[in-house]
Order: sequence, then C-alpha cells, then structure tokens
Amino acid sequence: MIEFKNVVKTYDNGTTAVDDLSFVAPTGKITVLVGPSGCGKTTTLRMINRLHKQSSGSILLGGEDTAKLDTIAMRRTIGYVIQNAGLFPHQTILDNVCAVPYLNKNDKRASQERALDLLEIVGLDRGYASRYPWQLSGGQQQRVGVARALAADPPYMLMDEPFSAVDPIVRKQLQSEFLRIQADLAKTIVMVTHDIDEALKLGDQIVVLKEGGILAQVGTPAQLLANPADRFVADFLGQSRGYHALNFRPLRDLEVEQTPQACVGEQLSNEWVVACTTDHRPLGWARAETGIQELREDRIRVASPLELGASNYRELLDAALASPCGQAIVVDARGTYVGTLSVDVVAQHVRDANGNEYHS
Amino acid sequence: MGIVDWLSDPANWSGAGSIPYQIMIHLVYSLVALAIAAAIAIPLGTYVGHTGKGENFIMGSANAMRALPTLGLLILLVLVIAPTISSNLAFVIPSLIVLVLLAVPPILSGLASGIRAIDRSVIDAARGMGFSTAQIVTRVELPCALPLALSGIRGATLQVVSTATVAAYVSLDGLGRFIIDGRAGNDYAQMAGGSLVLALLAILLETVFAFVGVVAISPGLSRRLRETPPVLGALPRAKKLG
Amino acid sequence: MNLEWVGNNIELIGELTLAHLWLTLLPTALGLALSIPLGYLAFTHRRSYPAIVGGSSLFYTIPSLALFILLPKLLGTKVLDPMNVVVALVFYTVALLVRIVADSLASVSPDAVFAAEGMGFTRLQTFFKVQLPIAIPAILSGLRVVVVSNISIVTMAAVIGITQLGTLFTMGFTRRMFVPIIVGLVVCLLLALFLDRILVLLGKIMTPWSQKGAL
Repeated sequence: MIEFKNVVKTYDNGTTAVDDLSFVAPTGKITVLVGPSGCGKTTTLRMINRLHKQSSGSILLGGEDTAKLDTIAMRRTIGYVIQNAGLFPHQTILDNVCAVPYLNKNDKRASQERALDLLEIVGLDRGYASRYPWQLSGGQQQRVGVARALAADPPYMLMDEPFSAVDPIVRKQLQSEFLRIQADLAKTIVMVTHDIDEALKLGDQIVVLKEGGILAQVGTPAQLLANPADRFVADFLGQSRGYHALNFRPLRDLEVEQTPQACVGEQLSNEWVVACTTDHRPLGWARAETGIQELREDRIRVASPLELGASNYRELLDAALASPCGQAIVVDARGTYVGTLSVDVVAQHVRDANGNEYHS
Repeated sequence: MGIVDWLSDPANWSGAGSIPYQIMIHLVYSLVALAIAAAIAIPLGTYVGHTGKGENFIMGSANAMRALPTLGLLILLVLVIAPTISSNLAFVIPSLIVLVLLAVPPILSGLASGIRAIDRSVIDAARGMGFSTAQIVTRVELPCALPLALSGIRGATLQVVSTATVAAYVSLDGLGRFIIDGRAGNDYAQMAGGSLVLALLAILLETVFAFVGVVAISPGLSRRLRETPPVLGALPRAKKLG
Repeated sequence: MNLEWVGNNIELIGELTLAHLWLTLLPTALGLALSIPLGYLAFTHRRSYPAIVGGSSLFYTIPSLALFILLPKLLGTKVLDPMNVVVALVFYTVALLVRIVADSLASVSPDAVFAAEGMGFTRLQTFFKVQLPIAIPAILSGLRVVVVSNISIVTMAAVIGITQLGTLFTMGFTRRMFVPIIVGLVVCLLLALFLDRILVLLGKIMTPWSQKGAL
C-alpha cells in the first residue's frame, strides 16, 4: 500500500505543483494518476521514490514514512518504468535487465537466469538478451524497461507514461500484455498517463488531478464514469463517457430472442437467420437476396458472437451495431448458440440503469 | 644530402640527440603534459557534465583557447619564468604549462559534453532504480561519455605532440630539435627528416587511439555513432531522389 | 613596458597583420570551396564517406610545422614560400569542414528534399535552394572554428621564418622583449574575435529564417 497524506509540493519560484493531496494506492492494484498537463501527476509519482521531495505532508510505503527510509535502498524495492524506457545504451539487454540485481550484488548467474525468464514474460525472445538497446524497436525497448523494473521482484512499481511513446497498435498490445502480467504478479502499481482511455483500461483505481495538483476525484473507472464529481472530471472523461461506462456493466439476467438458425445447404427466406455449423456454433448472419435461396458459405455475413456472462453492454452495443439486423449473436461458455439480443436491450438498460447509482 | 640519406644515416640512430632519443624525449614531455591535463580535466569535466554547472563557461573557454597562439604564449612564459630559475627547468616549466593549457580544454569539453549528451531519461531511470550518485557517475555517465571523452583525449594528444615541437625553439630537446637545428644550419634534409618522423609519430598515435576506441567503447554506443540511425534511414531515399 | 616600440613599429605591425590575414583567409576560402563539393560527394555516395572524411582528417593529425616543411618537397616550392602555409591550411580546413558539410547535408530533413523534388526542382536546384541553405548554420559554425584555429596555426610558420604576426614572437624572443610578443598575442586574439563576429553576422544575413540564431 502506498499512502499520500496531505502532500504538498511547491517549487522555489512559488508555484504549487501538488496541493494537499491524500489518497491510497491499494496493495496489488493498479492506481492510475491522470489529468491534463501541468496537473502535477508526474511530480506526484516522482515524490513516491523521492526523485522529488514533498514540501510538506508524508508518503507512506507499506506503512513506513518514505522520508525516514534510506532513499537508495527504498528505490531498489520499487520498480521504475519511464516513457522512453531509459535503457542504458552501453549495456546489453541482459545487463540492462540485471541492473538492480547487480547493484544489490545478487548472484550473477541466478540474476541472469531470472532476467532471461523475465524477457519471455514480457514477450521478448531470449535471443534479444545479447543485443544492445539501439537494435530494438521502441515497443521492444519498453518491454525491456518493464522487465528491468521487475528484475529485483519489487513489491511496488512506478510507471511514468510507460506506453505513450509507441504507436497506437503496439500500445494496445503492450497494455493487454501488461494486464496479463499484472494478473499473475499483483504488484502495487502507481502509473501516470495523460490518456483517459488508457487509465480506464488499466486502472483498478483512478486518481484525477486538476491543474495546480488539486485532487478532483478518486474512484474505480465505473464510479468515475457513472458519477463524475464535477464538470472538470466529466469533461476530462470526454465525449465517449457514456459509451465507456457500458464497459463496466456486465450482461446479466437477460432474455434472449430465439432467432432461427440454419446450416449450410438449408433454404433461406428473406428473414435474417443465424448461420451455424452443424454443432450449433454461430458463423454469422444470412438471408436470401431474392425469393428462396440455398445457404452457401459465401452468403454468410460474418459476425463475432458474445459470450453471455463474460461480456458487457459496450460489446453488446458494438456487436448489434455491426450486425446487418441490429442483433448481437449470443453463445454460452462452450460457444454454442443461445439466441440473439437486440440493440433495443442496450437502450432499455440505459433507461433503467442510469436512473440508479452505479457501483460495480 | 636527401631526406632518405639523412634518415638512413646510422649516426642519426644512436646516442644523445639521435632520432630514437628525440622521439623518447618528445613522448615524455607529451605524456607528462597529458597526465597533468587529465588529472585536472577528468574530475572537472565529470563535475561539469554531471551537474551542468559552468557548461557554457567551459565550452566558451575551450573555443577561446583555440585562438591563442601557442608559440607566442610559450615565448612569453619563457621570458617571464627563465630569469627566476637557473636550470633547464626555466624552459621545461613554460613548455609544460603551455602544453597543459592546450590539452585541458579538449579533454574537459569532450568529457563534459559526452556526459551532457546522455539521454536524460537514462540517468533518470538509473536514479529511480536506486543507483547512488557515485554509481550513476561510474556505471552510467562515464561509460556512456567514453566516445566523446576519448575523442577529446585524442585531440589533446595530437595537439600536445604537435606543439611539443615548439619546445625546441626555446632550446629544449624533442623532435622539434631537428627542425630548428636544420633551419639554423640550412639543412633541409634534417628539417624534413625530423618532420617526417614527427608526422609518422602523430599518425601512429592516431592509429593507437582508433584501436583503443574499438576495444574500449561498448558496441551499444559505437554502432550508434558509426551509423547514426536517423541519418542512415534518410539516406537511401534521399540518394534516389536527390 | 615600452609602448614607444608600438608607435615606432606601427607600420611593421600593420604589414604583419595584413600578411597574417591573407595567410588565414585565402586557405580558409579555398578550403571551404573544396569542402562543399567533397562533402556533397561524401553525402550522396555514402560509400565514399569513409575515404573522403577519413582521408582528409588524416591530414589533420600531421603537425603543422612538419607539414610546412614537408610540403616544399611535394610542391617543388622553396621552404620560405608562404604558399606552403596556404596549402597546409587548405588541408586542415578541408579536414575539418568536409565532415561538417557531409553531416549537415545528411541532417537536412528529407521531407524538405522530397517537397523540392516533388515540385520539380532539378538536383542542382535542390542542392543550392534547399539543402545548402538549410545546412548553412552548421557549416558556418564549423567555419568559425576553422578560422579561429587557422589564425593560431599560421603563427607557427614564424619558426621557419615565414613573415606574419608570429614573427613578432620570434623577434621578441631573440631580442628578449615583451612588447612585440604581447602585441602579437593581442592582435591575433582581436583578429580571431573580429573574423568570428563577421561570420556570425554573415550567418544572420544568410539565414534570416532562423530567428533565435542557431549560431
């Protein structure tokens, strides 16, 4: 657990970067600091490992005041990942990953073994170990940056805009893999981003800061989306706020429509039916263009089915919008056809639900 | 007598005043001057590079030093110092001062700018991971600054070896002896022979530095220097069009 | 100190300064004129880069005094011919500038080059209207280093008896006089400062688009 207690940071020129900030980053969770530029989010992050020192207030790391700990020793218990990875250009990838274990004078052999494992965990081939940073792409360097932060198996991690220097496709990949790794390792993470989508995707908890380092709101993504504390938070969450909110609403207790299914070779009318394999796995939608036609593979409008219980309303809306008849195909956990849900279900849900408070 | 005759005359290859003797004296002066310069410039350059303090002043004075004629400075110092000291030191000390003055700026600015040129995120990452200041300097800053620092030392060495020749003008030994004596005796072969040895010595030292660079600089750095990626990436296309 | 000497020898000082200026500027200009096509060649034909840049920088390792003395053998000139100094300094100038020209041409944004090509500039037009102007600040800052160090190198030629401001140093040494030496040092420094300022000014005139002044 990382705890901020009335932390203030003022610079010598009198500007306040962080103003009376208090929040808790819970153990094993990802806390994302988000806000416009100049909101002091990076300063806040860097106060945790004392790269910046707060002017007043205290920061507790696992209950201990960081000001009273040995700074160097404390930093080695906190993994640190930054925007451009900041790899040491004169060292191989392996030595980069082993940086902190070497500092701690850990067994060299064992450190290297672990580093190789870590490279695989972050999705890099072991063959990269002997290369130098300049030989890697930005995304690969960032993976090494994450591996390096994990090398000493620190309980905490600080990540400063870790994925913002790579292109959008790589960023999505890195985010998903990062969530997969975190699901296993359950580190206590504080991350900074200016990208609200990234915050909503990665954060277990989001801390929204306003300019001048003033706390605007702390909450889970669903809480923020459902109940923004003020106009600033609402604006910051952006125009797709309502759409994002559907992400956090699982599909539960819904009656599906029994839209007929058909297999390849069967006759079609001008009604849309769900094209299925013979063992009832949905392939997509089909209907006859004129009169009565036979269902052939090239007449199927391919669609991805939703799994009941594992999907949310955003996915339902998306699937319904993408289908030729405003219906999403639903399957059970084994992938067997269950029925369809209309786009109207989303509208009905929104009418019912937005009246109530939402906490998930 | 031609240059070849002078160079192949056995009398010039043994004893005091011979070619090997003057090479040795030349190298001793140069090495002493470089050692003193390094002892001054390396700590100072590390400090300036690490803290960024006085960077402009250092770079500015390194540039200004280039304009200062070493011959004039040497002669001035000899005239000032010689009357106060009676031994040969009257000439050695001014020569060493001039050589050290020449050697400090390139080493200093090479090292300082080498450290300044390191991507700030690299040093930030090191600090955040728990490197102490001493560890940042020795494990990150100095190795990363090595290419530029080494080229500063190389520049200083060439300057010093080149200028040590002038010491002969104020009556000291060294390879400049052949040039000054040859000039005085209207002996072109001796002047040219001495010059040739001096030029070869300089080229040899340059080769040694090239070799040291290959051995000492991490491939992680030198590859980047040898083929700077943005430049290289732009070239093939530019060539086709331009 | 005896300032009378200066008054009595003002004509000599003037002559030496002019000779010095000539020995500095002529090779600098020739060197620049050679460096631009050579640098362009090294830039466009990447394979020639190591040969051109490496080869010319090898001259830089040869001590100036040695070069002043060895050149007569190669050029067939007399040892006292100032031409030796001019040629030696052309070598030094090219050694420093070729790399700078090649590298600064390479750092011109390819977008600007593509845009020019796309608009129908010929190769020569692209070079003179786009690449060279954009590279000017870098080349000029290299030229400043060259001019200043050339002024200092020229004085060395006094050791073998070629007349210029360095002659004041040898004169002061043989006559055990401070004044000529100090006059020589001061005039050299002033000359360096003066030429350096002129180049800065020239750069501002030639690159009106760089407001902050890359120099």
